[in-house]
Amino acid sequence: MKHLIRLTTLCLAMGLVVNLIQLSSSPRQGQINTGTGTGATQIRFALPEFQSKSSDPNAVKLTSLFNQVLWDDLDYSGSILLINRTFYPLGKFQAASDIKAEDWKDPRVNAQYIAFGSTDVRSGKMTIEAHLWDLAVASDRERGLSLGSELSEDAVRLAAHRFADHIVDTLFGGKVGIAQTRVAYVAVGSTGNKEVMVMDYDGANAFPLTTFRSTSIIPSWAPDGEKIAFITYRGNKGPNIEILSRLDRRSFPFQALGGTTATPAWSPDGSKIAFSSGVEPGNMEIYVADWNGRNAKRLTVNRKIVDISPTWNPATGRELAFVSDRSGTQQIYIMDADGTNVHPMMNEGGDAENPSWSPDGRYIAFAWQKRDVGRYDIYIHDLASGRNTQLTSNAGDNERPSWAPDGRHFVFASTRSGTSQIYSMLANGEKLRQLTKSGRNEGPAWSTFSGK
Amino acid sequence: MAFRNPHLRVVFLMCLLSVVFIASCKKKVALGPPPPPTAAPPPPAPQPTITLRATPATVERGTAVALQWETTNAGSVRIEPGIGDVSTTGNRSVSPNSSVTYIATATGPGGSASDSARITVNAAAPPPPDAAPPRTPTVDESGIFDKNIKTIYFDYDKSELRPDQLAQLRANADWLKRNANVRFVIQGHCDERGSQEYNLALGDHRANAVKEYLVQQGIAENRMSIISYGEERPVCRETTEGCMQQNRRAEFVLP
Repeated sequence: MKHLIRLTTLCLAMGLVVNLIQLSSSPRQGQINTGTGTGATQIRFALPEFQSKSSDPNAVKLTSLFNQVLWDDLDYSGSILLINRTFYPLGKFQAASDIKAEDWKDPRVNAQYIAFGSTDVRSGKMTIEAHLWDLAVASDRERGLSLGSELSEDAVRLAAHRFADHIVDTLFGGKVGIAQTRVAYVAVGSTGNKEVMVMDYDGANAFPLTTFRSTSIIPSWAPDGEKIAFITYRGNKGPNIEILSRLDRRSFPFQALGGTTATPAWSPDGSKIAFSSGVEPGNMEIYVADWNGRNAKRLTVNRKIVDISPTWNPATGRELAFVSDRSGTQQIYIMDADGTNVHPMMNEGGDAENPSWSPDGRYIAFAWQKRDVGRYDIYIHDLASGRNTQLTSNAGDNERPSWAPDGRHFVFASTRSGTSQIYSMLANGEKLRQLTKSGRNEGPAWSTFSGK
Repeated sequence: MAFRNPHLRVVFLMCLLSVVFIASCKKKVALGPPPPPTAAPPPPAPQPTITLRATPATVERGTAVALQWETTNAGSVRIEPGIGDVSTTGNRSVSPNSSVTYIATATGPGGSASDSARITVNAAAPPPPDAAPPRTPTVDESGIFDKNIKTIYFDYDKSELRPDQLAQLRANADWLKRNANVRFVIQGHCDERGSQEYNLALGDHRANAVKEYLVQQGIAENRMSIISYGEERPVCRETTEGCMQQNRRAEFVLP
């Protein structure tokens, strides 16, 4: 028994040492550590180019697009370290027989996993044979995955996203890949009209959800990844809530409460929408209604105070954060979903707005204009410790953060390039990616996993 | 998110093995019957295949499209979006309102395979733009209204009526009392400072402050409606104080 205890102690100590080594080595120089655990574990991954078995120029071009999209997806996931291709063994790697595990475990490559495969054209369609191997476990090599795709850029991009999500889900367990998710946002037209748009999570395939030639703003995804609620002035009325399907643009009724209506936020179970309404004159308050607008209940009770921008705790569905100017400046408050137990998120002044609650319930991302700064930056508030971490600085105004469903990435609007554009980044400040590049774009919202 | 931690896993496995080893050493090991000879592992199940086709692949809105799928070695098939679990071979008629990519995934003992088929819907009629365009007031009516009714301005981040604006607001009220048949809309506007959402609320409060004053002056409430535009309709786009002051306003318009 003594041996057992001593051994257990030794094991615990060894585990601790490994943990400490990882902890001390994980935050790299200059990296912002939010404590969200992003970047703590990176898997060394080899991704030789998929080869086109067809010599048709279009198939070769689409295979090259597949390679690029797959590489970008895995790189952007933030938890996979793609090993530079110049270190790979020489040769072409398209079938299982082309891969010799020891070549890839050579210290210069030192890959833990490899994905490889080939494309071919059969009866007018592209077939992609894709493989994912754990190089340490020879007997546990996953069988191939066959992805069919039409011979178009859209279809091949989608096939690459599907394989990327398959890899991320397999490596990290569960449904964590975001390559097939989408971002809703608002495009400002040259005449000043604003339309709600939907694009892939990497900025490709943008299309208009609304074509009202009016002002349509502040989109919010239903958890089904199909319906989007937003605020519109269509018909020179409003602002009111409308709900459209991103698949076929069919509309779902929302019974208006009356008065100025703003900032819809879908509850995590999809049954309710929280919003701000001025139905009682001169008094914008937070309400919760069924998602068709019926059975509206008022949650906040103030006079001549602005209460706006509710966001649900997605982990529990039992709390809401919102913005109120009851203290004199705009600050974020948290309350139970029945309106009780209201308390400030922090007491640090300035204007704190646009709260977005992380999927695991632990963090609130927000835009903060600190006292005397005159500029909004994105911060992440850790609810357990009360600590704020700054994610953007000296790069224009940065507003409207919205968490990705993996809880590790978020999307936001920034004026760093001169005009407002949509960007995304990891919650530790890495992997900044500009998603929109032309015109003026604002107010993004990241879909749920069901946006796939 | 549950990250696999290879280092920890190795340590844990080593420990587990050692514990099992030590524990087993303490026992007097009784020799049991030899294990039965292990059968050769079965050959791996063949990987499923699937093909999905949409005919025709390009249609006008409202036209039916046949989705057809065939599989081999598949136990189940699922088609997204919106169709769900289906038989391993079959067809389905769909009439999408806009272009859509269907993905069929076949799963079997040998893994999974998927295929996609895109349906392009031509000339999908966009939802109607502003269904009820505003009634255009006659030049006369609009001209007289605009000549007599002036915009009211506000301080930064405030919705209280400013003393220097009260004379103009009283003049507006007097004209509206004399022209009791005129219905009107009070628009609340803000400068670009503060968030878009907060400004929607601030514009609402400004329009309401004006409405409240007019009702106190005896103007019937049912003659007026309010609309907050927040920072969406600036009259001036520079970031100077003079310009931003022009945007912090309550405007009167005919409905």
